[in-house]
This record gives sequence, structure tokens and C-alpha cells, in this order.
Amino acid sequence: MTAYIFRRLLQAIPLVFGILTLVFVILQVAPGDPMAIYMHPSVAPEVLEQMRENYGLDQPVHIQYVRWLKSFLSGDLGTSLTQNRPIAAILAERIPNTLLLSGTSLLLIFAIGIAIGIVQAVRQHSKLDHALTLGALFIYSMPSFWLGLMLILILAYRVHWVEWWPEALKFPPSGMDSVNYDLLSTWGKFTDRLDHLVLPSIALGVSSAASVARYTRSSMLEVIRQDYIRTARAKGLPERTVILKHALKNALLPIITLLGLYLPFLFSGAVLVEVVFAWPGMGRAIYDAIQQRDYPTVMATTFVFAVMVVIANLIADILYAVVDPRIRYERERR
Amino acid sequence: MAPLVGRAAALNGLIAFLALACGGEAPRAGAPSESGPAGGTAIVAFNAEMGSFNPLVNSDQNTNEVIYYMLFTPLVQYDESLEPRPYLAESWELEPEAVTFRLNREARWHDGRPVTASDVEFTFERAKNPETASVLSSAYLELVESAQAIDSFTVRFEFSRPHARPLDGFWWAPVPRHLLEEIAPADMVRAPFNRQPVGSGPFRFAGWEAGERITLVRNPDFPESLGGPPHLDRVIFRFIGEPATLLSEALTGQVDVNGSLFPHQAEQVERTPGVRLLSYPSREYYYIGWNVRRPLLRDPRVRRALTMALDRQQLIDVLMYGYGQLATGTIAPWHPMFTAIEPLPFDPGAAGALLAAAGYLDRDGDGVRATEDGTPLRLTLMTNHENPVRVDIAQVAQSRLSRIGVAIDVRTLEWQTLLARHRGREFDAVVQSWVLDNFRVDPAALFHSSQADRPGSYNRSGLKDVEVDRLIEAATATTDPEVAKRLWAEFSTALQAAQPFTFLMWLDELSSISERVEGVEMDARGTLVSVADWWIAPELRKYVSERGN
Repeated sequence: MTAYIFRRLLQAIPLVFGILTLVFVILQVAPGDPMAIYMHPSVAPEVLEQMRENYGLDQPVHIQYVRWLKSFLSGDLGTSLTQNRPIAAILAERIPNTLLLSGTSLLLIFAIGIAIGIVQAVRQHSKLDHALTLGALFIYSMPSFWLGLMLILILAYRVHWVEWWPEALKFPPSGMDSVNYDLLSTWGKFTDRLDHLVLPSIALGVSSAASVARYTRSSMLEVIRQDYIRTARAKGLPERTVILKHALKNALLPIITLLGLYLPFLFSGAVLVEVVFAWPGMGRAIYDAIQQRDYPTVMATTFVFAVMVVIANLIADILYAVVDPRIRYERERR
Repeated sequence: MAPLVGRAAALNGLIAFLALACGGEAPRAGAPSESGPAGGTAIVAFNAEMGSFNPLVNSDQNTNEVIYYMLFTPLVQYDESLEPRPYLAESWELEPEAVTFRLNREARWHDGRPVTASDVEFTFERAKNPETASVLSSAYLELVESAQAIDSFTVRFEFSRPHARPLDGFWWAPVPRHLLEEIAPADMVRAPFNRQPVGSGPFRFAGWEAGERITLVRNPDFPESLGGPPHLDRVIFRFIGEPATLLSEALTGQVDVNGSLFPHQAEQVERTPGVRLLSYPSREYYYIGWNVRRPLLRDPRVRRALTMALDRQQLIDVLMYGYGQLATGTIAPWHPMFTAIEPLPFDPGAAGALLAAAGYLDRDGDGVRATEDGTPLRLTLMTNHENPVRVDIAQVAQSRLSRIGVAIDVRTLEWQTLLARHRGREFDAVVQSWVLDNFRVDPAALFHSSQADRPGSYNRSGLKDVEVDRLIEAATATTDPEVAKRLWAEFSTALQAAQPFTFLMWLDELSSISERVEGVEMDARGTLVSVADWWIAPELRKYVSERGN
């Protein structure tokens, strides 16, 4: 297994390198100027030229690329052109925030998705099944940023004018914590953070949860028809044990692979959700950087996203082997 | 977190605690008696994060307001009528080609050192050094040649030539020499100082959680001669990019001042109890810029006709919900140098006649005018899709102009792409806006012929008009304010005749303010101009410690 992981990571290097080169080229081809934010009739063109020189943007493209690559390989991600501080420092602040949001979403996706899928499979063709199918399709087709705005409109805004609505179900529309976070007790901090996570993690995860539910349903239905389930029922096991212990374990196998598919999806979804909810994560950083043509920051955030996706896929493959003992990644010696 | 309003009554003791934590100062002497003791936290939100808290290299407007009104002490400050008044410079002697400032001796950097003439001189030198690429150099110091510290609290500046309103060139704040001297000019933009500034103003920098918030706290030692310490203990800035999210925060009382409110949101603010709406003149104007190098647009009569075919008041009433003022030129209606001139009328009939006189007739009955050799009067009007109001303006213009036989193709582009086209002069017409970043009147960058052919310059329309040139030169050279004002009026008339832009409107700035925050006044000087006078009654204060409760 270790050899397999090592091989996979090695294979990822040219992939990530290719992605970065492609992004660099696209950024150079796209019209735009990182100095645009400084353009103003009271800022003379010579001042802008000097800024370009200070940032090394006056160099030919290939030299900029080689320079960037050199410092990148030596572990220096460069300096942001808009925040004017080391990109490594920006990433160190932002990555944990995005992981927190997507991690929570991931939990939500699988917990809700699998639960609904099981209910649907067990009650196949019931009214509940149809209703849930319809609901899942509805939610699945909603763009996350729109859903986010609707959640804010209803659960963070309208409910403030509904007298009987419980205080605990009024959620903050933006940010990671309250402005008095530092003054809160440990428990207060925990609930405050949780409170802020509710809306964005739902917005980010709910459409994937809907599709997990669909997958779980079909996978469960397939497993339930197998002989060993009939055997389990025949030997008089309670239905609960049959479903949750015997059926679910095998039905989850294809679901695990979804993990690898959803993680990249979560990261890209986070871009819009973070903007809507003012969540200070990687997504917002990459969004701002692209808009302002902050080239080094775009490159660095793309790099992090690419690595996260590679790792996510790897984790999915490893998990696959863990749940299904038939799958082996090591070649047998002859 | 639920709003804490209900708990406010129990918190008075804690407020006292916070006051102690901030230096244990007695309530501000000379504060309005109804404001009660100093204290309280106000949350201000904008739609974009701040830039750099270094006056030498910052160019972001909201950040500038924090620099000018909270963290630093500029040499001069503007009063409500936009006349420079003493601030860090407590007095001055103005000569035709020089000014000598005497500095306030009580001003201190937040690390305790005095603010001296040497700091002012250092800031000037860094700003003038081309390697710093300081925005101050061209924005304020173009006509200031040298600075010399005469003694610790006296500094003299020499001008390169006499000019109108010389004090406008000194609305900038000095930086501390002892903290920035070691930084090479070219590295100034990356100095760690910029994100953890040591200022000299009524508020001190306390923390910056990137993407989330910036906290400033009361400077209890701010000298009375500069206005004394502010009332509020803390001002927290939050950054929320999505307008609907920001509005929700403001209407539910979690943000006290929404400094990025849009006209279509104003009515909702007015309907919500506990929040009030403030509208005040902004420094931003919208315009349609014409590329006068294009053969079709070369004749000023054509450009005037295009303006006269647009009902600009209707644009303000419908697209801006009335929050704006008809623009006639680049000098803002609230500026001391402004003289009202008769705007070009909305008169499609006269516009059609002007086009006919310029040789544009609908020769083949297809509804589009054309030149004698058959070139149709067809123009591409570009704007950026991030700003829906601009897209609306472009579409209204398209429909209005089609009625006088001008075919408009609307193209919406991403902002950076639009800017690249505009800067590169690859456009017929654009809907755009400019925001004035200071109160100097100097339209040379936009309209002087010397800038028309310079790559990267701001005379993107390519105007070359002898009369406009002459009036800009004369008005910036005279030292008599009355003469300058008359010349600027003549300039506005000449510019209107040349019509390189269709001036659409001066926008109103809008803010929503929680009723618990009082003493808030805003005007063209900015959202934060009165922040040192904001106050919150003790029973309405919130955001204090839960610990030990």
C-alpha cells in the first residue's frame, strides 16, 4: 500500500505542474493588469510603470515564468500583488477555514444523504420515497450561491420579524464568528462557530447530499435483493439489523468512491459560497485574486486546490481498498 | 449569535471594565453631555477588504478614510465647505511659491514618540522618490518641489510655481520616520508596517483578521488640541462582498453602519425599524466616454447630439432611484470651485438636427443615419457586467439613440477586459465612472491634449481642444481663488461644447445606520468623516465579555 501511495503521489507531480503552467499561460493571455486597482487620474502613468517595475511585471512573460517557477520550487510562493504580503501567510490563514467549511459540509453530505437514501430504499415506491426523490432532484438542481442567498433571506433575515421563531434558529448571515468571539467562553466560542457554520455548510453541501441520497438508494436496492440479505431475514434477524448491518455495509462501497468526486466539487463550490457568506477561506482568496489579476496568488491558490484534489482522490482510492478487501493495489510478485 | 441588545442592561459594569482595559481614561472632556461616558463598539461593514494602512502607498478609498480620520493626522483637514483647515499643521504662512507649516507639538505616534517636522520631511522625500511609486506624488505633490524641516515643529515646502489652492496639496498624513526609515523605497509597498500601522490619530490599530475584520481602539491620549479622544472604545470593520448578505447583517442590527449600500436597497432600509438611511453626495460620477479619434465621433456636434438624445434625469430617477444629481462636468456640485452651468437639454429633435447638420442622414430608409459615403452611424458601447446599473444605462442609451438614427451595439465585458480595451483606446464608447480621490481640481490628466497620445494616460477619449487646454492651464496657474473659479466655469462650458464625455450623474452615497449609534454625519468627505464623534448610549452598548458571567 505504501508503495502504491508513493507511486500515486509521484504521478501527481507532472499533473500539478501541468495545471500550474496552464494557469500561468491562461492568466497571461487573459486581458487585465494587476495594477488596474491603482489606476486613477491622480496616479500618473509613470507611477504605475514604477509599480510594475517594483513587482517585476515589466519583465517578458517567459522570464516571469522562470522566475516564478524558481522561487516556487525553492518553497517561496511569492508575494501577493494586492495584499503585499507573503502568499504563504495568506494561505496559512485561509486553508484551515476552507477545510473547516468543506469538512463540515462533507459530514453533512454523507450523514444526510445516506440516511435519506436508506429510508428511500426501505420504503421503495412509497409516497415518502417519491416525495424525497422529488425533493432531492429539486435541491440537486439548485446552484449553491442561489441557495445560499435564499437561506440568508429566510433564516438570517425574515425570521427576525417572526415573533414565535426560536432565537436558536436565527443564524448569522456571514463571517466565521461574532465580533465578540474573543470575549466568549470556550463553550460560547464553540456554539458561536457552529452557529456561523450552519448556513454556509448547508448551501455548500446540500446538493451533493441529494445526489448521495440517490446513489445510496440505488445501491441499497441492489444489495437488498441479494441472496445473503434474504438469508439474513430468513434466519429471523430483526429488519433493523439486516438493513443497517448487513445491507448498508455493502451498499456503502460505491458511495465511498463518491468522496473522491465530491471533495474537488466542494472546493470549487466553496469559491461562490465563501463569497456569499463572507467566509474568509481559500475560495474568496482565489476569487479576489482572479478579479484583481493578482497572478502569484492565483498560482498559489490553484496549486493548493490541485494538491487537495489529488489527495482527495487518493484518499478515496485508499478507502475503497479498506472497505473492500478484494481490492489490492500492490502488484503481486511472480 | 443572537443579537445581544436584550442583555445590554446587565453590561454596564463590563463597559467600565473595557474602559479600564483601554487605559482607564475618564470620560472625554468636552464631549457632548448627552453622549454619556466614552465606550461602546460600532461595527462598520464595507463590501471590500482594506488595502494598506500606509499613506505613502495606499490607493484604496475606504482605507484612505481610515488613514485620514482614524489612524493618522494629515497636515490639513477639510471642513464641511471643503476649505482646508489646520490639523497637524496648527498654522501656516502662505507665500506665492512656498508654505511654512507649524506643527502641533502635542501630537504623538501611538508608540509615544512625538510627531515632528522630520517625519513630515521624510514622508515627503519618500513620496517624491520615484522608486516608492507613491500615489501621493502625482495626486498631491506634483507642484511641490522640496521640503525642509526648519526646526522640530516647523517645516517649509517650496512650490515649482505659484498655483491655485496650494493647501489642497497637503491633505496627506506623515508616516513615522523612526519605523520606516530602514525600508528601501521600492519595498515600501510590502512593509509589514502597512498591515500593523503605528499611527498618530484618534484611534489605534488593534488587529486585523484577514478577510474577517479589522479592529481599531480608542486612543485615550489623543490631544485635546486635535479634538481629543473619540467617544467609542472600538470600531470594528467587517468585509462582506455580497450586497444582499451585507444588507441582512445591517437590517438585523449585526452591522451598525453599512458603508456599501446600493440605491435599490434604500427603500428596504427606510422600511426597517431601528435603522436609518443616510444619503449624501459622493465623489463618483458616471459618464459615457466617447473615443473622439473615431471618424464617426470626431465632430463635437455629433457628441453633443448623442448627449441630447439621452434623458439623463430619467436615468437618475429610474436606475438610481433618484439618488443622484445631473452632471455637467468634472467639478462636483459640492466643490467650492463649482459653478452651475446650463446642462445640455434632453431634446431628441434638436439632437437629430445636429446630426443632420454634421452630415449624418438616413439615406436608405433603414433607420440608421450614415455619412455621405455610406458609412452607417453605428457604434459599440461597452461596459462591465459586474455593475448591473452600467449595463442598464448602456441598454437605455441603445434604445434612446436608436430613435435618432444611431445604431448602438452593447457589449458587456469583464471589468479587467473592459479596462484593457479602454486604456488601449480600442473602443467607440464606454459607460464608466471616476471617483475623485482628493479635492484638488485638476482635469488635465483626463482632458489635456498633452495626454491624448500618451500610452496608458487617462485622456482615453483622445480630446485635443485648444480652448480646454488653455483654461486648464490658466485655472491651475492663478493664485486668486475668484479668478480660478471663473476660469473653471469657463472650462466647464468649453468642456460641455467639446463633450468628450456624456456626463450622466454624480451619485449619492448611501449608508444604513443603526439608531443606537448617534452623532453620525457623512458628506462628500466620506463615510467616516465624523467617526471620532460617533457615540452609543451606555444602555445600548453590546459586544462585551461573557467570561466570568
